[in-house]
Amino acid sequence: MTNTLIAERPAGGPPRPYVFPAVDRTRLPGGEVVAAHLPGQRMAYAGVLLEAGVVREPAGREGVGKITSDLLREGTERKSGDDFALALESLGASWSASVDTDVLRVGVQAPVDRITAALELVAEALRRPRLADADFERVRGDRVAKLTTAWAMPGTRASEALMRGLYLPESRHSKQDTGSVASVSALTLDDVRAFHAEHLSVGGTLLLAGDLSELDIAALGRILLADSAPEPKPAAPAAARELTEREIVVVDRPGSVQSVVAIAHHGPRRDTEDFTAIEAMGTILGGTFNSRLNHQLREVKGYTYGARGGFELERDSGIFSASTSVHTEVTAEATVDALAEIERIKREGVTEDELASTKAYRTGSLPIALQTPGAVGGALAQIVEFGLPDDYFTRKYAEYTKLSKDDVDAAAARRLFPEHAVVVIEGDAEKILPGLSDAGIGTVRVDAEGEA
Amino acid sequence: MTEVKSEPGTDAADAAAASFPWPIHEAVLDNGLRVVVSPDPTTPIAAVNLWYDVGSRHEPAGKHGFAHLFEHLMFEGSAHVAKGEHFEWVTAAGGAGINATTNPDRTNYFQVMPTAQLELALWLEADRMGSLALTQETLDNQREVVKNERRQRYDNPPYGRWVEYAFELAFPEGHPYHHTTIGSMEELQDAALEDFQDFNAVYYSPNNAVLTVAGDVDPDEVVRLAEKYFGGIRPHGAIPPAPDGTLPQLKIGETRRRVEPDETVPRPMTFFMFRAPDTRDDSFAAVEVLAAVLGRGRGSRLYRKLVTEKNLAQREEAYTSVWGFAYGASAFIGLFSPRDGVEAAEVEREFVAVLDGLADASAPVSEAELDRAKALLTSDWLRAVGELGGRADTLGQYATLERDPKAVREYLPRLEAVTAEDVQRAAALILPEDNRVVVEYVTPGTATEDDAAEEAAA
Repeated sequence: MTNTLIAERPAGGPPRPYVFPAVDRTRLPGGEVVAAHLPGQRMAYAGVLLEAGVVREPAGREGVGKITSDLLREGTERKSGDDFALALESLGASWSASVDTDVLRVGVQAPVDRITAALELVAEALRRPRLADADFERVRGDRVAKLTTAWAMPGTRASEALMRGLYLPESRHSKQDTGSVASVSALTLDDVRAFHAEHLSVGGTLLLAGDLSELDIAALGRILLADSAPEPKPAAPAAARELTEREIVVVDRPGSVQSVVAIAHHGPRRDTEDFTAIEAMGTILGGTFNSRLNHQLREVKGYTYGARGGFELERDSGIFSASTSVHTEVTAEATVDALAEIERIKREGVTEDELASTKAYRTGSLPIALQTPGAVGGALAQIVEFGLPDDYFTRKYAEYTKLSKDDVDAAAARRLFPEHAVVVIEGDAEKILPGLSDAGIGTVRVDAEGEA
Repeated sequence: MTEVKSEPGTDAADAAAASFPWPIHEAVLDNGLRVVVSPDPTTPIAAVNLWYDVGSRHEPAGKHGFAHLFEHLMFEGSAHVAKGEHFEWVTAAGGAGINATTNPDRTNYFQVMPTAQLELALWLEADRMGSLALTQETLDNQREVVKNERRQRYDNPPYGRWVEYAFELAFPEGHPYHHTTIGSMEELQDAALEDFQDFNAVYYSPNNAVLTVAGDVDPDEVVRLAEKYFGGIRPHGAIPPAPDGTLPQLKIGETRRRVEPDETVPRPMTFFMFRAPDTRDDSFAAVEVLAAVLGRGRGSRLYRKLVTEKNLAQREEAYTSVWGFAYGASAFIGLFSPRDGVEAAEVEREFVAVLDGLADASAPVSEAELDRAKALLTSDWLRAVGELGGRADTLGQYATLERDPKAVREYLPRLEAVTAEDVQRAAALILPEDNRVVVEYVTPGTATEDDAAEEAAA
């Protein structure tokens, strides 16, 4: 029994150019409302972006931003934590909060006919939280427990060592975004109150994504931004540690059946003029299933369930990183292979096929990635955080269309530094040290300085 | 001959329309492939989704993990597509959201394409359905990948194996849900190429699959293209029935406890599993509401009791949830981790007291609790069908498990109809101690006085 199949691959047509929803900006005394209209969407997103990322945390108070954002849900001046949660959840609203390097964002997703009520609750929590002693003690205890658990999870200690390798000790970037067990344990409610008063009590940008046809945008803005707010002060500089050679660092995790291999070095800031070329190059090296790293380590060698890499560029700093979890026995081989892929793309650049595929992927997948109010809200957050034009995601299509192989090859040559990278391997040191020392990739040292 | 059934779009009830306001078209090709199309012209993209009616529940003893390993092999090439090219072509055409998953009940394959590249996805899916290349080389490679997936998800992370322990205790030996989808390293090691050739011939047949396309497409055109690409694939005569998941009774019959002393876990942690009605049972909507009332979110009963009121447990986004399965029973899940200095036994007593309050109706469900749970579940639903990938997958699910994709319209009406009494009945059935599995991780510093007795009993 044979099946009759069509042998010829359908050519198809090019994706239609993507157009990001029209962005409406409304200025209020306390900040701006940035809204994207998504006709027909039954869910909506409303969120507030604040200049309150971890770079704003005082030295020794790392983690205060996260604790403060956690405490917003524990009740307001008018409602207990339980009553607040019941009010929000009874709207079918889901709360989200993130504390990134530069910004902090709290928001809700809810059915569009309930988004105004949900935003009123967000405003109440953000501007007038209860910040009570008992709640603080409990939330801090939870954070410490979470950090303790995270420290036992594969990969946490590798990231911690990586950031210490990339930044000077005085830099906020050299420490875990979440803070450490020590810094969080030492926090007091006064620290939280001070952080809240300075960064969360006024100002911000209100992001809205959803079907806006029945909503009064200015009225929504007044819920949060009626009071005038001062301009935020500039944040402390990132203070990168200069890398003059490749550093191979082993973090011991006795009994580990896999090793986490993480390779990183510095990159440019987000406003670099070759951003699109860097993004394309990172995609080819480690951004998709067919990327060179995943192909080599997973599909050719079977060392891992997956390998990835790419650039994360912030306002004042940027890093390239690649990582994978591999079977302990092949740790050295996998590390050598991963470094070799980075060296190869830097030396030889990309192929025309890879570039064509990546251009099609990046342009075609934009409308797929931006289908939901939550995703469009995230896109608005990027536009605001990095001061991008409102039609940034529409322009991206044109930018990718004109991207050349020379642009991408130049980005690989200029922006990758495998010879000056920090390579952290978290695994069973006794088993992996001999292989790594013999691999000829650099001097290996064991790092035991990391603290939960 | 191809039969196309279209529905009038005007007479749907409001609640049904709220569940799923888009049209649903259904066709069956001569080879048995069912085609479901749901047009929505909002964005020029289309989700392409295939549900194969095969999962780990079909695996006989000695071959656990094969359905999932087979799913990996589906990306390793076919007559006109080389290894890895499925991902490559989809990506190069601007497609995204490409992957596949295996669970106990089924295996699904999916991608979202720019509309102008819909045909490419159909061609790729048809080629691997009709001519999968199974070689020793790709089997050996993907076996290593799956072993690493197992290490990464189950063996290496703390608490990673609790799910395996719980299913082994909750379902009898030989039951299709007794073993987990990831399977056994040893049995995977013994897997031979012929095992997968047989598996392919039987289960990856057009008459065992549902093709769903949702998005900016014309239904007649999709059916024509399905006929063009899939029409030449021969059906398998008769798909053997899956092992019977019917249980003599829903309840486990007792409390089964496994105490796992583990030096490598960072904190003590306790997991529960209860057998619950399957997704095709009329009471399943009430089971979902029950999980939300009890343990979902900051406003749930367990959160308010264990955290706000008593300060005994770590915060969790969900203390209870339900993993819906279609054949015999679902798994109702609970978990907690005691706060520092608190004994697990004390938290468990309070946890169980909250369950008992619902099960014996001494603390009945209030209308406010019911409304909160329904509001959360309604938002979940709107989010899931609000994007095309989720929408196509949901249609595939209803077409496969309920045999009718239009049953998708019943979700919100069924949820809306759940009463406090329904939730209480579900609680009384699921939560009592004669239907409970407990997996308790203890760390060296936290052993309790009754460990020895419990271990002896386990």
